[in-house]
Amino acid sequence: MSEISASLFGKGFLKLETALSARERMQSVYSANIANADTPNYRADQRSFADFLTASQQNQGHGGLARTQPGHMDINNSPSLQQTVFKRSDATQRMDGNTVDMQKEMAGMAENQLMHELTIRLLKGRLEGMKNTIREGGR
Amino acid sequence: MSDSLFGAMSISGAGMSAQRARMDIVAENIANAESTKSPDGGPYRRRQIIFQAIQPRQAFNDVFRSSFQGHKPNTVKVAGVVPDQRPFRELYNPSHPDADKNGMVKMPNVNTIGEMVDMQSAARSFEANVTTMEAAKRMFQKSLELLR
Repeated sequence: MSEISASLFGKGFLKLETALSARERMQSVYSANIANADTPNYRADQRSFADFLTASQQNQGHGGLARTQPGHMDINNSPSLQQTVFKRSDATQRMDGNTVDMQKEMAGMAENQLMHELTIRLLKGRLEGMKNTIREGGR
Repeated sequence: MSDSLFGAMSISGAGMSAQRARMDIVAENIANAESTKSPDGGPYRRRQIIFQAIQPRQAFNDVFRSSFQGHKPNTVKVAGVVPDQRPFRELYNPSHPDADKNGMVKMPNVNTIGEMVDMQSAARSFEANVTTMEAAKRMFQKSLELLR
């Protein structure tokens, strides 16, 4: 019984859930950058979807990176895995020192939204499949 | 999970209210572009708004968990409204009651064209914040549709 429920709500579900929550966190990053588009000396928050995904995968204790050799990179010392805010250094700065690129933020947000919808569809499809099984194929 | 979407919406809301405050100041500057008297004496002095990026106020739970969650996205607030220290315009108009002995009247240091540009910029930024808020709202609605 536990095996069945583990495979039903197992890895796939958790992965989709992590992806959804990472998408939602990305949305708040885009909001922050757009809300601060007129703040002098504001450095754009450069975190990406991948940063959030890795972080929450590690929190859930799966999909993380294991260190099996002494030469492997230490997760705790990797800046991208610690969710640090990257400062864009090569960006053309405006006169007020703000580094937000409005077009880029808007495009990123649109992409984020579409990917969020895609993840929702995938999750919905899984739920539909499960429903179908419960109803014995609609009999 | 939904915490971050509400966070996104409150950040967009803060952005909208900051832009609205900026619009208020622009309106004040344009309305007083010809005012030669003010409560402080002398002509009206142009005012400008300063924005500041701050960390959102956090509940105890958030602070408690913050070591796991890393840096939170910044919200925006109005840090203050400061007077513009540029010199006043001077206009020759001897019949004006505020004219000095040479017939010069000190006029406010408001550049109406500059204010118009600021107004357009505030309106565009406001729209951008509305778009982000709608995006967050749509994401939330899609998540709710999973329950159907």
